[in-house]
Amino acid sequence: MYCNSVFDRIKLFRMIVLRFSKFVLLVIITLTLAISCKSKKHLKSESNINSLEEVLGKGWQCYAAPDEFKKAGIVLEYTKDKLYVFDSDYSDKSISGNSAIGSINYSLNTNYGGVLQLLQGLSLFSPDSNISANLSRNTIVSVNYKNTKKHVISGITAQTIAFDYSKRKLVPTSRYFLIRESQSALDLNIEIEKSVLDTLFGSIEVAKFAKASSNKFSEGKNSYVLKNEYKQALGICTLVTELDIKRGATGIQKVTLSNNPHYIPHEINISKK
Amino acid sequence: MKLIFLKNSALLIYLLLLLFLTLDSCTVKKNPGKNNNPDNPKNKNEIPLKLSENLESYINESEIPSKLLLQLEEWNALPTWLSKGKKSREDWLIALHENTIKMGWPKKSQDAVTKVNVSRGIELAGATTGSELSISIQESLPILLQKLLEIINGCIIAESVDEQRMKIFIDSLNFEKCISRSKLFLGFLEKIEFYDSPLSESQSPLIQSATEFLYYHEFGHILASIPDSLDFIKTELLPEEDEYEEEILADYFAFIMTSVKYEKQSPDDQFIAFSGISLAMSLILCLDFCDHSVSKNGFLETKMTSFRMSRLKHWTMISVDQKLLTPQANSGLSILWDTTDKILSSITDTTSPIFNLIYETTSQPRQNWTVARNEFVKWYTFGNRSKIIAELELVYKSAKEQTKFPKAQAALEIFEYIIDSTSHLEPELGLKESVDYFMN
Repeated sequence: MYCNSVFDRIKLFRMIVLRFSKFVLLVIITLTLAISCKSKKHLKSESNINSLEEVLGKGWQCYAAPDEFKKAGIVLEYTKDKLYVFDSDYSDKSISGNSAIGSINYSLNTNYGGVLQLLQGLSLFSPDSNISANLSRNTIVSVNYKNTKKHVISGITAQTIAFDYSKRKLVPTSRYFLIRESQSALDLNIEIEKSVLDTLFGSIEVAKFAKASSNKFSEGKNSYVLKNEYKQALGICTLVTELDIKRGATGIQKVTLSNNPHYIPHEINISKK
Repeated sequence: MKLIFLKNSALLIYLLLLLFLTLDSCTVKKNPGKNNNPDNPKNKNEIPLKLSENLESYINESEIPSKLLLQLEEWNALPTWLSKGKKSREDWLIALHENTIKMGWPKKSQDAVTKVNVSRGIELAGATTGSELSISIQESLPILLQKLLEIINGCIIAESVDEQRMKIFIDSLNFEKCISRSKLFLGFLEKIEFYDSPLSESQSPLIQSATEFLYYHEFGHILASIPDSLDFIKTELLPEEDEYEEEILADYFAFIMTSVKYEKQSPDDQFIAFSGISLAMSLILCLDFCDHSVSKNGFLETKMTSFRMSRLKHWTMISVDQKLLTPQANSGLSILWDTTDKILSSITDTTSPIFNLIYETTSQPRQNWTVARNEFVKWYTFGNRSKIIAELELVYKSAKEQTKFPKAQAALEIFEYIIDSTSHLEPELGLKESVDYFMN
């Protein structure tokens, strides 16, 4: 009865909107805030290893110890001793371009030993001092990678690599992984709690380094920030595919690309054979 | 006021819904609806045929376009091994696999799955390691073994020496026929990588033993991929065998499994089991022969299979000497292999099945050309396409050069007929595109 005609409905709608506009506005603002908070949560959680997959796509993973070997076109061998070793390099066949992700913030739950390993791996800060600290103590390191690039191995090239591997004598107890895509960075900043570096190297050594390399070092309230620029891009995140090996009864070996991504432990270091 | 409140609630719900729908429509769908995908074969002009239950599983499993399978089924031209008996072959293989993994192998080997698969070309059997562990036995394996066994049986005659012993001879009277049959079979393996003929209802124990050996061989590969699991069968290899280390190791495992299974069985059972090994190795020898690896002195090389068989003979001989196996196991291992070896030594070239098919069709009335077309589509669907095209080009060019002869003229017409009458299967068939460059 109240809204018999379209006109009545419009009237009612206007009345409600006018009378409760503040309330409706409030609801919309709350919703907008909730959504924007959700988006921010996404951005913030870039610093979390798992959520990087959400940003980069399924199968992507980032490493605590970036290095030049973590780039598209590298084939890794996973040996029976559970080591990832460099096997071959097809990275010259990869296509590179600017990465859409810009910079990556990454926070790493590690221990003092991991910090040491990271600093040495990145040639950032490794004074010749004896370390007597308890390396198993936990800490968090924040890493910010800038000047990122994406490197991709095309489908045809990946097939060619698989074909090349079909002709090779492969170790039966080993597994082989091809890095299909990678994100690399030329610049990085690492933020480490003051107490960690001071405990590891001693505050005198740290101060010496800060003085000698002021362009690479800055001091905050509770943390030190170490910076570096690299000529060779560091592989920071990868998308890895396994090379499945089929051994036929006639002795013919066929290597194909697995459909599922493979996750290499993020703290892994790739060693040379 | 109450009414206004209710209307207001409705409005709020409406706004929320609107907002939700807007957000939802802005979100990129990870899995867009299959029906809207233009690449979805279902949107293409498919042959509207009803699937048989058996075929449905192949369509899901194989990479062969369903359109081709459906058309072959409609023409009643599916390979015999595809159209019947899959379930029983699969059940048999799964039972064998389950019995094998129960024997206390490393836990990881229990993750291995086993399947009967359909794929293009000839693979016989394979073991995949990597993201998954699997053993596959090719669907066409029994028919290939059966055909080879028929050929070998047609080439030999058995003569009783005494009540217990028989002597096997090459049947010199029928040897030419035997060679001719072998050449055609090898032609299929070499030039088409596909073979089909009627499959017996009941699988012969010999074919079963051969399949069993190949399964054990593949399981050996699976174990070899698991660190330390095959350490107990390390064998000293000669330097020239190094290249084939993995195959020899897998063979050794398969030999041990067969020996353990049959050591307490009767000599006749051992004869059959080891004849099965011999048959499997003879088929591998044929494929190795067709691989065209030529040695420095100009002979076709079958080095890998020969090394593997020498090892198998050596291990069997030792087991017989140690009374673990009876001499029948030794005889079983030798007869089929030695005969195959003799046949292959007498062959320098193989027969072209495509030439045969076209040539025989030239003497048929046009209404019967469908038989040739159906056969050809079957070969092209399941065989090695590039080899078939290469062969087709040879036959076509040869016919083109001899058009003054009616048979050559008819052959060219048959070519045209096959291409025209399969145009509705394009692009899945891929024939027209492949022959265009030499026909036009």
